[in-house]
Amino acid sequence: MVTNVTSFGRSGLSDFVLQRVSAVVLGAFGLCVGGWFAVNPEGGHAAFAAWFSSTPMVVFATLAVGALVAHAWIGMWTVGTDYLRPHYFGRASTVVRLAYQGATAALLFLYLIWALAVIWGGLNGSTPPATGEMPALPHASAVGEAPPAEGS
Amino acid sequence: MQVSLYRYDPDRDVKPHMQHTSVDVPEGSDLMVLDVLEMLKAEDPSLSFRRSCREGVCGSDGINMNGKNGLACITPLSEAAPRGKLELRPLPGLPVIRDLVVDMTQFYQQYEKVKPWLINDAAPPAQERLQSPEDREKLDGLYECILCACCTTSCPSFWWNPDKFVGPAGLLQAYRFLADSRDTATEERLSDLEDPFSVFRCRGIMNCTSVCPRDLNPTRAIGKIKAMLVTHGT
Repeated sequence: MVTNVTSFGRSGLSDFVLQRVSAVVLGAFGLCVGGWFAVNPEGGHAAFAAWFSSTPMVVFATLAVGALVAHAWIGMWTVGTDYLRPHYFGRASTVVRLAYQGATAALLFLYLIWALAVIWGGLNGSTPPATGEMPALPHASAVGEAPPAEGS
Repeated sequence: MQVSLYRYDPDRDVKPHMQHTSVDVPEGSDLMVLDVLEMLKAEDPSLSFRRSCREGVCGSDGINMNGKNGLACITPLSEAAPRGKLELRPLPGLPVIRDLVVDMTQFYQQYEKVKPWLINDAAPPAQERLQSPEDREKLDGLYECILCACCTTSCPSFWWNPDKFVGPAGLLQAYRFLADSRDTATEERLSDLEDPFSVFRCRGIMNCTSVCPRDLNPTRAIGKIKAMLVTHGT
């Protein structure tokens, strides 16, 4: 039987509001990052990394990742409770739905930790470089050279 | 005209099947789909379907015609089958009792859930509870529903969760009483609809509005319920 036990909010209203607020945050973040590229067409990686690892952007990116995880969870929970039903899976539907919800939660948690490590790692000066310097690329001098012939 | 009919007799059939037949439609006429059903029933009395007023008022003969729900009595063949082939099925998403007759218990249970009656705790006045013409106007487009179930059974959210999602017909009635200036149970009604399924399974795809034979707009009413929930609940 499909229930709302696994919905974190247990309220359609809170899910509804959270999904819209998170969509606004994600839209604003997308416009912000897209806007940077629009006004800095020649910016390059170093300039972008310097801008992106500034404290306001780190905070904004953290907010955006949180919004993404909340938005994705509500959406995926809704899809699961719509389609993973006894009509298709019989008695196993609860197990299938719980497995799907568990996998979704685990994946989103992994993405959250990974994204936070990337975002806040940049602020600490580990990755990406806080100074905005481009890390040395292997074979940097080979850029523009023809790739080696196959089998050589 | 070629007609494909959904047939199912639980006493004889293991599973439903489509019966392919044809009817002679008089040249130059534009019969209603119900007329075609009556012609087919005259040939085969075992064909079962509901009908009553034959003028779009009772809501008995809601069926699926060439993939779109509607009332057979007010849907002309030129609209239902412009290419000359007619496929008739029962309303989707509800258990079939026989042929085109469906069990509407779940539909009525969802309707009952929204308490479709006026609730007012104040002592009744000597004559009647008055309402201004402006407040009365707010009920236009809401009270005219005839409960034919065309909208609710065209809604995928109702197909997936018929036991939890109230459906467009029930929600139209829910808003009819939320919008009524004489009703005092607004908070109670809203709190009954706040869960993730009753209202919020509506994704606004507007199948309900597209098929309503009375040209009502349940999607707009559902949007207003959501707005009231946000206003009252935040």
